[in-house]
Amino acid sequence: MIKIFHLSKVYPNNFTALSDITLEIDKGDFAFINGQSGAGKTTLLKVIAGMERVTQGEIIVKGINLNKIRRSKIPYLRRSVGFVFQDFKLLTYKTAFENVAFSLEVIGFSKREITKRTTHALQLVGLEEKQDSYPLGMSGGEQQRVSIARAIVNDPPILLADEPTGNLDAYISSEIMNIFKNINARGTTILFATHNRELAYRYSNKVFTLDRGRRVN
Amino acid sequence: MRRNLFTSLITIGTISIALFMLSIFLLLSLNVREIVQTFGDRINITLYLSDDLAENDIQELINQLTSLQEIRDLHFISREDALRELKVMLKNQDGILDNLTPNPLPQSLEIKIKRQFQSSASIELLVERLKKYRGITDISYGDQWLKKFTTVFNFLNFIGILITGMIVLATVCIVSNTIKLSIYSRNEEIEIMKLVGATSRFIKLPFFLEGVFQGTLGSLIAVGILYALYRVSINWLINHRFFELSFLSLSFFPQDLIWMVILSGTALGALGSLASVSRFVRG
Repeated sequence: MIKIFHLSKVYPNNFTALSDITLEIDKGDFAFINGQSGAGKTTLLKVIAGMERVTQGEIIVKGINLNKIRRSKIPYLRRSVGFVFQDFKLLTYKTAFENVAFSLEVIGFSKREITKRTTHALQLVGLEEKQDSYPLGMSGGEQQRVSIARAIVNDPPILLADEPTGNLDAYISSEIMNIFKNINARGTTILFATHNRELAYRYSNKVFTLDRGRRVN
Repeated sequence: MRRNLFTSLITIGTISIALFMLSIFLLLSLNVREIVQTFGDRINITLYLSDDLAENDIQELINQLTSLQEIRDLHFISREDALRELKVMLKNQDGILDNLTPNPLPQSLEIKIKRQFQSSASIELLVERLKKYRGITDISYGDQWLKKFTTVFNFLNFIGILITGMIVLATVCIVSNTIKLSIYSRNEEIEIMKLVGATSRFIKLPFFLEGVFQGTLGSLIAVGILYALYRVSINWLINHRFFELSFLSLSFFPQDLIWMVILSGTALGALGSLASVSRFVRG
């Protein structure tokens, strides 16, 4: 599903975020990227989502070589890659329902389809009761569930998660992890970045460890 | 739109104020130009004709001159007319002319020049050509005065263009920065749209339409305020009897200039929005 060969990413200020990374993630995997902050986890996810260009090496997502993809095609790649952030990135002036529905509006789904899919996604994360609440009136765990619902509402084959439990306590974290497990069980390939080594090995045996931009296992 | 009402109002207000400044300056310089040109209209070239020129010779000369592109108006003054005019000019002392027989004044042609040729350079060229016509004995035109007039006119023109350029530049800077700030405040929304796979056209279109709307509304307000101000000034000037000075007049923009101001507002809003949003979308 995701193939990376000798990938390097150097930012314009000459900071090397990733250096010679090679890894492969298969369809249906629940894989982890583990490492300290600054190890390059976020950069790797951004490269996979087409948010950052590669400096060297090859990266193939769903059979598409991202080095060769035209800029105008990137939005279509994003539609098959859901993204969950540590800081949720919700629009505060929209309700939970509207935040999730927004990503379908952008793609151009019909109103009926939007309502159907949004309701379903909110059920999947256990938030159907809170669909009319605004993000600022919700707990961190609830906000993260809204952002997960938004990431999966259009059924992307790949879901990327960047420290989604980083801001949450242990109990809420395990609730969120269960949601990810369920999503994975439905066939979605998940790549999950975390600094928490223990968490990574508890949920998966496919863990890629990064240290200062290099892969160490 | 409703959510961003405040930023929207600020953008519209800024566009109005900036375009208002620009158009009030344009209007003032237009009117100054108009007034200065009424002085230019008084430029008069007198062609003194030889006494032995018969009536049909004169008619032929008039025909030839009328076909010249510089000439707006042409007027024949016979010797008798010239004497009559002189008497009017001398009014109370016209007695001194009583014994003038025969009439010593020559017959002449008075020429008025079209506006685009009212500069000393083109008038001198014209005079050189006129000298070659048969029957013209002498040519008089206030060449000293004309040179001063041309200098002043060119200077005012230059200053006008310079200031207009500066105001246009300032307007573009102010408006594009305001738009940039208003779009920056929605950076998060753009980022999320990109995140969930919105095409750049999908992201840009609402901003573009909003820019068109804000720019057009802003310029309409500017023109509206300017027109109101113009009406008030006219009334004030009439009440204070300013227009009794014959050279004073005050005109509003011609219609095509109004359209230009409105369209430049629209363009400013549209291009400003597009340029700013493109920077965010590209990243």
